[in-house]
Amino acid sequence: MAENLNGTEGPEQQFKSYLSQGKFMIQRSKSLNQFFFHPRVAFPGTGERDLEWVEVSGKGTVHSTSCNRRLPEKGGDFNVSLITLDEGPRMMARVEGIDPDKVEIGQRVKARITSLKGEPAIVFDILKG
Amino acid sequence: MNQNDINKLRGKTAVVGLAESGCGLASGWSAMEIMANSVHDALDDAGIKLNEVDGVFAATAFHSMAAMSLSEYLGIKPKFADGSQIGGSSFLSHILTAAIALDAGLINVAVVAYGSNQKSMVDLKLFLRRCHMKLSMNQGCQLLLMH
Repeated sequence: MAENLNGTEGPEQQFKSYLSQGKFMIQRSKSLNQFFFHPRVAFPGTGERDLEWVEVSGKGTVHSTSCNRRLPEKGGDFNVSLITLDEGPRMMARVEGIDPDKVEIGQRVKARITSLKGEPAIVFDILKG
Repeated sequence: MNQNDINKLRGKTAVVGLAESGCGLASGWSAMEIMANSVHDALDDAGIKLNEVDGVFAATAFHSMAAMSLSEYLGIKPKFADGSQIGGSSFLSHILTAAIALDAGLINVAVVAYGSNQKSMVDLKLFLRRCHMKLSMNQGCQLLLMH
């Protein structure tokens, strides 16, 4: 009955491993043909476990945005937004390359893999045109 | 509550599914992932679907609001939740509360869950220092499901 997980990676670690390889992958249930985020062991709400990792376009739309004020000596203001990915799921991330209080709802953005506090992470840039 | 009162609950509810996950070492797995994995295994054990769960009971050293965090992770909105944290007896307390809630008709299916990666987490020593715990902890994860 006890399931041995040693030598395998949990979904969160898998997500980070893919990011380290330069790939933005999220999970999809094969039977539902639906994506979700953040990485989990099963589809939220209904519990399907027939999951596969799929590389996504990285394109999305700003659903909501905020500017978090911070002292300049502690790194200055930074943006926190909710981004709806073209594949469906919504994720929280920073939009960079623009003043943190100038991000607007509805703007098109594209993901970029970077590093935050020593861990691979996703940030978004404004998509021009 | 005396012994006669608690006996009123006898035979009213039952454990119908059980699972363990990630026992021993489980490097690369978070406490929540191990806990959720065992929830899904226990549901499979019982042949019950996740969306039938309407009671969530959980406690871990990693989540100050474990029942809420687990519900969010599972993607469900239970009618009744209890995240009382009273150490190793948390789960006996959860089972008693779950039995009362089931018997009262407040809920139909309860999950009682625990998850930990204390043995295999990378920054174990840091965690222990923070919690003032000894190095003798074992990892374990189990779940009881009552109906």
